[in-house]
Amino acid sequence: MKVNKTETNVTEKMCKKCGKVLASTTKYRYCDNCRRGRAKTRREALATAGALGIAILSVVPVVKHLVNKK
Amino acid sequence: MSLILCPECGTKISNKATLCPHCGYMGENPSLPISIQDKYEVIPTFEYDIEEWNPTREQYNLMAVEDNRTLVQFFGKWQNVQLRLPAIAKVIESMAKKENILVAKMDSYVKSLIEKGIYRFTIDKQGEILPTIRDAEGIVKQVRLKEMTLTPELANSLSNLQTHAVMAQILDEIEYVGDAIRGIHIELQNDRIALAESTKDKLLLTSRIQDTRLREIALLNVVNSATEAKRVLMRNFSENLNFIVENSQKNDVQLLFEGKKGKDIPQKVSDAFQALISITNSVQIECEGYALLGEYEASKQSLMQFRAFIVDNKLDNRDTLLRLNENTSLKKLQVVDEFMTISNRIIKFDTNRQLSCHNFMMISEEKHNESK
Repeated sequence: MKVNKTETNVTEKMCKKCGKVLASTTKYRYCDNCRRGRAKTRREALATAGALGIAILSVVPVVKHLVNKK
Repeated sequence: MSLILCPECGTKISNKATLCPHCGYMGENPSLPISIQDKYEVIPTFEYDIEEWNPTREQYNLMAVEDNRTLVQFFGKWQNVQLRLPAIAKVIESMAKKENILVAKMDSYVKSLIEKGIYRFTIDKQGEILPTIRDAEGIVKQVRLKEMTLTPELANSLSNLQTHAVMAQILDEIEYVGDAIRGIHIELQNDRIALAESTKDKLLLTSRIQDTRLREIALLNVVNSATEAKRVLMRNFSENLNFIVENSQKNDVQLLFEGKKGKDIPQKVSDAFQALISITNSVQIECEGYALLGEYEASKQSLMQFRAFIVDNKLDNRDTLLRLNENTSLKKLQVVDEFMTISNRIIKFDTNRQLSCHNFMMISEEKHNESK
């Protein structure tokens, strides 16, 4: 975790991505804004993967059927 | 008759007056007018140096479009319009009743989406239906439209294309209303900030009034405006802060399924920081106003109210402000540090100490120096 030493020599937690100073009680290494951004990316990736999965699952039986027919 | 300024209080009085009606001042010889026997000086113009705390303000962000989408989806469902807005539903049906109607061939899935209000037909500027179906993003499907003469069975059918076309027009209007609501939100926030900022201008204008009595009345109005602005902003700030605190520090899974609340947070953080700055400035003007009126107890009371606000919202704890800062893409560490300096001074303020105009003004100067 990045730390920043201020003039009063108190170590501050900082966001690993954007370098924003975090609250001392925070449990995370990233700020809420960065974490929210990351969650959005994950959500989009999940949706894409889901759509792809559904597309594949719906195509496979058709392909199997065609192969068996031959 | 001309007017002179009373040598004692500065009120405008007649040059023939032997007694000031405001402060009761009389010259050495009570039978002679004050203007003859007293050499008086025009009261000096007050030079107030009210420093406004004005950290860099960012551009306002628009609200999330989710509210608008929900509204469109709800009223896009014909059953909802019939149930919730029966009068409007009747009007739509009567508008859609024509002898010649258009029908389109489409599968049941598209039809169900049209009924739900997710898909709708495109309408040109003359109100004619175009053979394209679209959703909020754009065109999704082309269909073939066919003209038919109306039969009683078709007239009663809700799948009447014309009905859906009118619905589509109404949905466009609802989307516009959604945009207008977002505009109103921004205007409301601007109004609150403008109310606070106007008090500073009022105080500066008041300082130019030479008549003491009028100046006192104007100062009271300034103080009232500052109190009103402060209270409105405090309430708004507390609501935003509660919302942000409730929705921060969520774990990754919660963030993944957060929904629209997460989209509102950056706007609320921006509003909260603006409100905090304006509250501080309003309190300063309120205190200055009371101090200039010589009402130091009221000044103290104002500071005590500000202290209660800081304590209630835990703003004396740097973590609260850092938590706010964490939820925005903009780095507002300067605002956090400056407010911490101010809040520390307010918390340490001793209510029992004698507050004179001089040491009160020193508080403002300290604020000014540190903000620099």
